[in-house]
Amino acid sequence: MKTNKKDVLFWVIPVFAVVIIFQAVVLVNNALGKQTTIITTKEATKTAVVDKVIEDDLVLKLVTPDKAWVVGKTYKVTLKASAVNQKLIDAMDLYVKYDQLAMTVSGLVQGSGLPKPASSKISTKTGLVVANLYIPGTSSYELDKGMEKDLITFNVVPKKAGDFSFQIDTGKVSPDSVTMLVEAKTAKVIPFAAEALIVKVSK
Amino acid sequence: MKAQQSKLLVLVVLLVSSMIASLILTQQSQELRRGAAGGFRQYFEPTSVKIKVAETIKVKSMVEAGKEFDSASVIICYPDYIEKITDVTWGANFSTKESLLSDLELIGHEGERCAILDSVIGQEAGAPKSNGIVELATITLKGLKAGSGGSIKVIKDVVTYKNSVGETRPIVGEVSGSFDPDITKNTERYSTVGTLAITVEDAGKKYVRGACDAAKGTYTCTESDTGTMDLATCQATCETTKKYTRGTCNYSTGEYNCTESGTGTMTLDECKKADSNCYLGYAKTTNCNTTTGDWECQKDATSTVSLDKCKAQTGCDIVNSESYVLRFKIVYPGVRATGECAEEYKKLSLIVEAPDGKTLALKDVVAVKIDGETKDTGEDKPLQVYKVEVPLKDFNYSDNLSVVVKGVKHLGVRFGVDAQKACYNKTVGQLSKLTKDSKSPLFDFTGMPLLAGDVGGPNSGLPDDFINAVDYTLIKNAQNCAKDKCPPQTDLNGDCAVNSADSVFLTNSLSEKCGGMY
Repeated sequence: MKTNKKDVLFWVIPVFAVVIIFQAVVLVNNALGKQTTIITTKEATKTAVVDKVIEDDLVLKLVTPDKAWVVGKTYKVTLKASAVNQKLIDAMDLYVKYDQLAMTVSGLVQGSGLPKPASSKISTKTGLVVANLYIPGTSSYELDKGMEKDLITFNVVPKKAGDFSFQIDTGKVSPDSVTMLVEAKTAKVIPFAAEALIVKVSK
Repeated sequence: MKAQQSKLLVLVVLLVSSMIASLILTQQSQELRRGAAGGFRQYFEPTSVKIKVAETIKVKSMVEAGKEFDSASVIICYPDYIEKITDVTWGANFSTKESLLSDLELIGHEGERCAILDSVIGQEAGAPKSNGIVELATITLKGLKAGSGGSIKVIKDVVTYKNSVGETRPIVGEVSGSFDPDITKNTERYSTVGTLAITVEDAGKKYVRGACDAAKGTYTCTESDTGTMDLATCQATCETTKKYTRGTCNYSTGEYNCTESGTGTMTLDECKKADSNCYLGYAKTTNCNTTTGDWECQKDATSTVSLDKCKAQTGCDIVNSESYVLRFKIVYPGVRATGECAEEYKKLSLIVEAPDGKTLALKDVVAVKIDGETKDTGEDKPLQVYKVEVPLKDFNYSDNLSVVVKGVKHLGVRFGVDAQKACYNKTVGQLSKLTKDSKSPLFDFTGMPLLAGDVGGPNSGLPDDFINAVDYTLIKNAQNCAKDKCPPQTDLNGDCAVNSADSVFLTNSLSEKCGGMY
């Protein structure tokens, strides 16, 4: 019986010691863990902001001054660009997708300060408005920080009622209908955020 | 019995040491909790920096405060291989007038530079108190000499220093505020403090730029204490002042003979460089390759015939070839008989398509210049005509073929009929009656020049089978480059220059491209 008591003591003491150490380690880890979380969260927020800036150097959007469209009337749609930071551009390929069964597009013109398109087309086959705007000579097209500029404008006559969209194409219609604005000197394609235009057409 | 006693003793020792370890760890835990909940934890952002001699870097002294405070003093000591700290920008919460950086001559820290940074909130009414994670100050560090292993250490405990009149005084880094409602102002020490490891690397040797080394085409550079550039920057490429005049072609080396001349316009390299009029001379042997229809040729210093022309000389025909032979003629936009930089135009990629849809892809197919044959396509001068003759190995079709022809900087154009002048959009081609020898029909595709302008792509920088704004910008960037220094891919008409003509060929391709996608 005496021997049994000693045996119990032999394994109880180490177990007790291990439990104490484990508890202490958990206590310290908890305290350190909380501090790490604070820093990580802070860094993650910073990174997210920076990433967003890198992703969207430009904002391209399609706008129309008229809110409600009526079948048979003519409306203007403009592709506008604004830059997060100043950008110099040497060339742009602009592709706008529209519903060719619901809209008739005509009168494509470039914005002020831009040359006549090297090539342009309004395709009723695929529903694409195409404008290749290439800046000749040694000059470049300047997009100032925060300033909004018109790149192209075209006329639209709705043929039927309903909700329709105009979208900046990035290769969905065909492999080479990729809208791109290329930075002067670096020849890099500038990342942009695209805003589509949705119009409600009534009879 | 004795054995059992010693075992018991070991276990008791283990238990006691566990309890001591537990006590220490728990104390640390409590200290950290104090820092987070109610105390003050000082640290640096970042925790280690590496700079070169004379370079500067900004680091932040931060505090994580568990309660509001009015001022914080931080005593730091730093190694002597960084310059004395003089440039400190106080955190946004602190007054630039009342905050202060002072040097300290600490006892027991001889050989180190020490200072105290007092970040003080302004005394004006309503000044916000600091709490949470607070930037005390941004410190500018400057590398003085190479060194490593040192750090900015924050002194947490009371230390003594010598004041300006040589008296010894105690000092401690602490945070001040009204922590206890019953006491107007009291202080608390930091629960933990941080360190900032610093490494200063040798800035490297500096060089002064000398004259242009005509042979190397780079500046000569000498090491100097007054130098401002590293060697790579110093040894930039330079234009030699010596100018050369081009003489006759040396067909044994494939380079022009050049002489230095006061009226010369070219550097030696520019002058010597081979082009379509100066190349290694070849002479045909008596061996004819009846599979390819090419003569075997060898170098011959007395010959003025290029390798391509040597191979293509008459008298060697494809005989009893196992494959049908596709033969056709093509032209490239802007490439004339005089195009000195049109050598690379020889290489083509082909995709031959049979009426049942089976295809054969061929790479590095050589197009040979046909001497004296040009084609008037409406450009201001006629274009050079090239000929292709290629066996269609393992492709047992001789009729109703079409072929997509792609040049090194050209979009693929599909040809399906002899004397084609516009895009071919039919499903099945009409190129027929191919034979297995050199009598196979020679189709004429010169009515539709290939589409030039696939210069590079947005991702890899290499041609991507599209002509778009990236290609235009690459050509624009290369315009007016010095002759022989232009990126070859941007010279669309092979005249050794990149100018507005190349841009025009690109934009022409935009409106002429086939495919009918839009």
